[in-house]
Amino acid sequence: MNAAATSMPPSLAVAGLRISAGGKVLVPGLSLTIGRGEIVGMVGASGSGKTISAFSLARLLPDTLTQSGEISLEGERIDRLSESEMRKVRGGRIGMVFQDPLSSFNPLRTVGSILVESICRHQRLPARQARELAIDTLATMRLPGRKASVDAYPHMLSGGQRQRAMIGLALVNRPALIIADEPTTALDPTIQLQILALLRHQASSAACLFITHDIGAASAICDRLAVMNEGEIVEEGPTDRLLASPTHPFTRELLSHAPGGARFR
Amino acid sequence: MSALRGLRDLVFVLLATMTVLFFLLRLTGDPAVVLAGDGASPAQVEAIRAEYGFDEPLLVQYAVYAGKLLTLDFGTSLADGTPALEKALISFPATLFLAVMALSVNLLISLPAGLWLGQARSGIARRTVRGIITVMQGFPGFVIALLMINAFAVGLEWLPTVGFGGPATWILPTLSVVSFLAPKLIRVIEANTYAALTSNYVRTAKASGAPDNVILWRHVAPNALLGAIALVGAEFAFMLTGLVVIETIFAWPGIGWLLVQSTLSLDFPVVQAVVFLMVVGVFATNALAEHLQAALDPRIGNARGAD
Repeated sequence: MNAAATSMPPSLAVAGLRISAGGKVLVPGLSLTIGRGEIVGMVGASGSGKTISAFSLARLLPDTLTQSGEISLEGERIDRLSESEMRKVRGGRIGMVFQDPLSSFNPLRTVGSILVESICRHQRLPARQARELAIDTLATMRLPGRKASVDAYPHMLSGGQRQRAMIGLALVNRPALIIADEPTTALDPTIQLQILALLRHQASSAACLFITHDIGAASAICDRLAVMNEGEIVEEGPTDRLLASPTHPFTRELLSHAPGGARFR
Repeated sequence: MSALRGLRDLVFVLLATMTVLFFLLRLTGDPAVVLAGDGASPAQVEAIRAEYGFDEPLLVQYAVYAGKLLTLDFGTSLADGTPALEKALISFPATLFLAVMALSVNLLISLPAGLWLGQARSGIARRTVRGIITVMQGFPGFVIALLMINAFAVGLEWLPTVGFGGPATWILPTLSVVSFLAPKLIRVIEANTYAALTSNYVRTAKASGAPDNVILWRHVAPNALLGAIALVGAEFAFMLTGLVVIETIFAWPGIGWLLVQSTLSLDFPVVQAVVFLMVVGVFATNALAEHLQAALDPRIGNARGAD
């Protein structure tokens, strides 16, 4: 999709990622590469390990899980960074979009103040400019009323608007990688399509890892798909190829069980 | 609108409370006998009964009482003839003072303790503190009060046992009250803190690079404390009515102490004035807590305006 990608290191390169809970191995050894401007869909049933794999990239796993393996962001080994260096990566070079946008915003804070907090942390802008940037970002995400959205509390926005604001928060510091964990699952179908289109459009300059169990949603915006089952990528390839001729039995099963699988094609 | 509704509720509750109180008090004993004192002749008792109107039918007495209540006239103390409401109002500041002090100390202990317990990993320190709180929760306040009097006033002679004087006399009553209020508040703040820490919005804050202190003070603490306002209000309301035992133990001249004194001497007007003050105090406290919560929680404020 992006010709310049060949001359630069991939935005994300994961090799031998292993996640375990106590003695139980959940992800034995995951490898994945995402180029600049590329959207890769990680699809699989719940419990397949796709969400913990995605969270581990930003080192956001709960304390009960341990991770190891190489994670390179634009050629830099971020798995070797200290926790304080990692905090600069989170929200700065890695932006995240979560499943439930209502519970993912602090109910006592305005949406704008959450963006401003992140902008000030990563871009070191004065508060006034940070607010301007937050207003611009929310407007770009097509939230209504420039000033009204920035001062709105999460409960005042609709589900779709909250998710737009969440995408704005993920993108506001121009990250190299966007991790979107089931960003459309909690939304109704018409809103899902709008959010997917927004993500596709806005994420054009970053790499994007799109986690979903909805293969239909994934096929709508992803350049490549990686099918996960029991902690392993069982099949990976360009979206069209994978949907047209799945080779792994699990992929075929996943496709046959996707009611909306055909709606985007 | 909501203030009017609150006032209407207050009037209704006062009416019900004062009515029940009136008939309960008349069941407890004959005030004329008490007023006449030991060794009074039946004729003297009858004279007093007639003088105070106790010989009228109960319903007539109630009608007179209710009528005077409307003008906040509680009558005079049967013991010394001073206006009953004045007597209650004079005692009220001591109770309010103890309640405010206990509230402040309670918050100073419970906020940090609850926040710390909520985010501390399991360890010896955490288990020890939790153990102490569990034990404290099982002790009635007056037991702690007596133990502390025994230790600090009688044994070590550091502090005075009873009375209401300088700061030295404030310590034991305050700590006694705090000892049984703090464990509940700590538990609630701890649970709220834990819930906030594991919430999705804290995950969002972490994912945008927030350091631990920002997460604790800007995201966790406001949510955890907001959820504790109702309990703080309930504890304060309790202190305005429920410090009877503590005030009696320490001879603290508040309305709890006055309530016991006037009940024992069947001084009906004073009992009625004290209970009246307590109901108003509880109502005011609840209204204040409710408004504070509405002011601090944007979800409540908006629900009234927009939805």
